Amino acid sequence: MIAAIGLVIGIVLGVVLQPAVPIWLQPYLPIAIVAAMDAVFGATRALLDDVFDDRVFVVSFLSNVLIAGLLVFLGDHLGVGAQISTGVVVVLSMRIFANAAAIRRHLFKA
Amino acid sequence: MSGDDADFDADALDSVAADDEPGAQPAQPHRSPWSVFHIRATGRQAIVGLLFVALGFGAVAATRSFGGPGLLVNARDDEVVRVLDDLAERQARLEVEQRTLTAERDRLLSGSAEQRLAAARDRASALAILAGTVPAIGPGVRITITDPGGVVDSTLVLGAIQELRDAGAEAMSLGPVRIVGSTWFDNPPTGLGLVVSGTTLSSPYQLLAIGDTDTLTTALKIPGGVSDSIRAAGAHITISPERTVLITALHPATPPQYASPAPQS
Repeated sequence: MIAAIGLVIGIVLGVVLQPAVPIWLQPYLPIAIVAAMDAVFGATRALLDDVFDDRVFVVSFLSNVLIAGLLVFLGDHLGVGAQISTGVVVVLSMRIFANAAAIRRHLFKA
Repeated sequence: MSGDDADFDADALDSVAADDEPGAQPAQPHRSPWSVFHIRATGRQAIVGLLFVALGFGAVAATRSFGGPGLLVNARDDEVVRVLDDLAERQARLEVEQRTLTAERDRLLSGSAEQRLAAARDRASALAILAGTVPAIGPGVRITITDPGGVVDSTLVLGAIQELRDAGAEAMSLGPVRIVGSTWFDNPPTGLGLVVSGTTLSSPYQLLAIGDTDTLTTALKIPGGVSDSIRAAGAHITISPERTVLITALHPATPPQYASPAPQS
């Protein structure tokens, strides 16, 4: 519930304030969002498995975002930023799909 | 992936057991999967909420920043430079035009009645040439298309007209028909000849255009352009630049049926 409320508040804030993303943040923001979505899907799965814990979620959320950002940052400085971004997005997407499959099995038993 | 998930689960289990801090909800033996749907104002919940606020905010921000000037995001450096050059050039042109128009407006606002009348007359004659209601004279080109085989169709002729318009032709006529904005071209059912605004013409066609002689000639002679395609189709075309071209064909002025001038602010 608090998650949904937070999400709605965030979206409303974003629409109302119309933030301009600073140039230096532009390569990292999409990656950070995909990483955060991975954490959210992992948390949803944990919730359905009855093992959800706030602390784990907060830590995994922040570390996911941080590590994904660091990887892309490193890749940018090594000259392979685009490739690393793609790699990170692919891996995170695979995790999201795996978690989504587990969630689906829980909810629909299928 | 699976190793990481296992780690996640073990960690979570561990901390669920140790989740009896003061201020938290009384420990429940079995957490309902939906327990997160009850609002609990603990510090961690607040942090979770804040993270979701950040996620939503970030997602909207990212969507916005990538939705806008998407054309240029993937453009190469030289393309961006070209676009920038184009814009700068266009801006310069528009500024010149703006200055001219502002000066004209100031002159009209402050001018005497005669001056206003003269300006209005100038404008009227410019519009009359545009509308094809008066004969026109000036430098230009005389184009003769001889087409005994009937291979020149309306598309080819329309292409020639468009090319001349692009090259800045100010007045044009095709045979006895003055070319204006509403002129239309069609192929007659017999295949021979050309229908221009309801008048059937037959070869040779004489196309007169008033404008910058060199520009008009160059425009027609572009490789693969009008004269090439007409020759390729099997017809003959001659383009003769002339110092004085007289266009006597007129377009009858018909009062508009639906449109009327809108009041200017």
